[in-house]
Amino acid sequence: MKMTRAIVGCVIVFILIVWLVAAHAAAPIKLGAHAPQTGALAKHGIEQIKGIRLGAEQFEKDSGIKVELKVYDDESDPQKAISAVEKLAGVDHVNAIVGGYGSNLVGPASEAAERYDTPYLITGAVDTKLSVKKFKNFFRLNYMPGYAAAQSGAIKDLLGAKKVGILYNSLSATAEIAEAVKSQLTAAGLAVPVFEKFEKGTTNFKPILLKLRDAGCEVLLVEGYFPDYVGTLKDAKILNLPIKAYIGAWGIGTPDFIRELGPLSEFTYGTSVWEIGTAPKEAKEQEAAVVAGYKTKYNEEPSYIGMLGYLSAKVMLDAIKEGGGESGAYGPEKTRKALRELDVMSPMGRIAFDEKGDPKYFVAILFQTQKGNQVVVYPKDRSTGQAQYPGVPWMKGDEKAGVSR
Amino acid sequence: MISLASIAQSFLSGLAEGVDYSLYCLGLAFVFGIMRIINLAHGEFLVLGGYVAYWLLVIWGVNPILAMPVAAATAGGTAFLSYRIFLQRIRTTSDLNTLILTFGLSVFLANLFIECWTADIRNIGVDWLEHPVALYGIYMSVGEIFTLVISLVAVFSLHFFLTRSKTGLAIRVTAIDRDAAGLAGINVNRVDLMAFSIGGVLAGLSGPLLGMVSHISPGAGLAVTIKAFILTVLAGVGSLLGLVVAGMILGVGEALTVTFTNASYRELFGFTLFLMILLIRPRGLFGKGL
Repeated sequence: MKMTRAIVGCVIVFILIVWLVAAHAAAPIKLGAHAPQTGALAKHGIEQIKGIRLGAEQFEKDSGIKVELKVYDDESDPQKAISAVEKLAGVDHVNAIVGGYGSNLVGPASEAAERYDTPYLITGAVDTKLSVKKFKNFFRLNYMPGYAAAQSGAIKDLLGAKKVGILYNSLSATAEIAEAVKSQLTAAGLAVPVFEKFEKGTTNFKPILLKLRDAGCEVLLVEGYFPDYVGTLKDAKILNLPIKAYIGAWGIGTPDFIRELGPLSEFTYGTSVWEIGTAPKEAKEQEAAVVAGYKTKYNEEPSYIGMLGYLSAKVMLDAIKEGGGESGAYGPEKTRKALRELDVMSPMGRIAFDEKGDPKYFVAILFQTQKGNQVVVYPKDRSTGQAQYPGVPWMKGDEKAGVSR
Repeated sequence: MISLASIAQSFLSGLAEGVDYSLYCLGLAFVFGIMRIINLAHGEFLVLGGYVAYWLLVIWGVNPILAMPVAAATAGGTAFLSYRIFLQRIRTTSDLNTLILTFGLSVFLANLFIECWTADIRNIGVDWLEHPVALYGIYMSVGEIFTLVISLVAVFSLHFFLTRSKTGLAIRVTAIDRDAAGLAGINVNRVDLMAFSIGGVLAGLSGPLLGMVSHISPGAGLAVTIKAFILTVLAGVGSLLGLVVAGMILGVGEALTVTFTNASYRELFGFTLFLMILLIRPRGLFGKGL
């Protein structure tokens, strides 16, 4: 009888201990993510999710809090992006959502996140119109003005060009950045005699490029995506287009780009939020850790999209934890408050959000591909080398890379 | 001010692109003309050919021109299997079945490409093929010249195969009247299988060319299928040579629209032409029975 009482007593004490420990340990965080894993934007979405997974894993290691990551493929389709957010917020009841690529997908998806009152931190949508509604749940790490300033600043201050031709994809983000760069250049006294919109899927760029030749443009600025750069570069090479510099908006000069285009990528310029080795000195250690972790996990170097994915997961998880405190009582209001109070240094620079959820301090970098490497040439305080100008991939040997700037 | 040289260059680039269009759509037009099947997986068969050429180039350094027979055989083989395993079973019940099935096949193949080659955009680039050749200030790349020649050879070869060979005759008879063809001793099921496989071969042949003049990616097939369908309607069912002329009209029209107006009107030209032909001449510019 005594023995039985002792056993029952021990079991009760054990259950009490387990209950007490469980009650004081932070609850798992449910993080939702959506990005294109199939369809036209799959390449970017896959890299984004890789970064998000790494961010979640590193957070688990650092904090000891379990992260239940739920990922949905939005198939590069706005309707599917809305469904993904609705499922994550309404069915899976996640604490917050990260991901999203493309302004046309993120715009409607952000409305769904707002309806479900779920904090939503995105990284691949730069259209300024996305934040005009001042949704309380909307946050992003990068947006268009940071890219436009880097492009117009470099053309004006670094290259010293007088005539610029701008071709842009008709999608909203590229159209917006093209308009912004044009107005900044004309305000600075530069001429933009060719300013043409082209449709997604255009394969013959020669008729447009010939307009640049006739107008005597020195710089070709293409506000587009990977396929647009492939098409314009191939056709410009065939036409032996007499320009001095080729600048792309984003997604140009990445390791994939250089691998696929080889010599045709040489001397092209592009903007980015981050490239390996460009972190501010306060974040060098963090950058090295992310790059090493990414290489170990995926056997490849992270692209800027991978880094954005990583940072979105890290920032959001830190905010959820910060808002929930030691007890793990997470809530959207607490997470939003933590995000609004955030001010940290990261590999892509200082991160803080304004009242609309836009990044307060975001500035893009402009790099030039030189011998297969990305050399940051603008702004000067983050540059890792000098621009070779004039310089385009189709220049003959003796014309190549005139002056270092 | 647009220079005369630019107009001539633009015209030539449109002409070259138009001939490319005709090769891209040859397989779809052929299958539609013979079997009345709109093969929505046509673009994916083409992209498969492109990936085969890309693979051969990257792994063994095989020139994409030389890789074309392998690409064509792979896509043709895939079309053969698709017909034997799936299409043959459901063809007799409803025309809509083939549309749904080929759509499903296109989605399956596009996702298979992502698994095999990731979602990255692939460029089939060989330096000497990208080298420009200038004639009186008008430029064309070596690759574009090859593409032009191969496209024309493919179209004319198919035309002669259909008009001059016994098998071609059997295919044409089956297209006109299946029952009569069966009564005349033609194995119509075999003809269908052959026609669908040839459609795959033609698509696979175009894949490396698409990768050379533009790029390939898992999602690139859809745009090709749409363009091919537009061109098939423009040219009219049953006219392979008409396909080349319709391709040239479309390519040159698009290029000159960009030259004289704005690049954003390029697609508008194609769709306006498409609608006008549907209104004025519903059987297409050169439509007739095979």
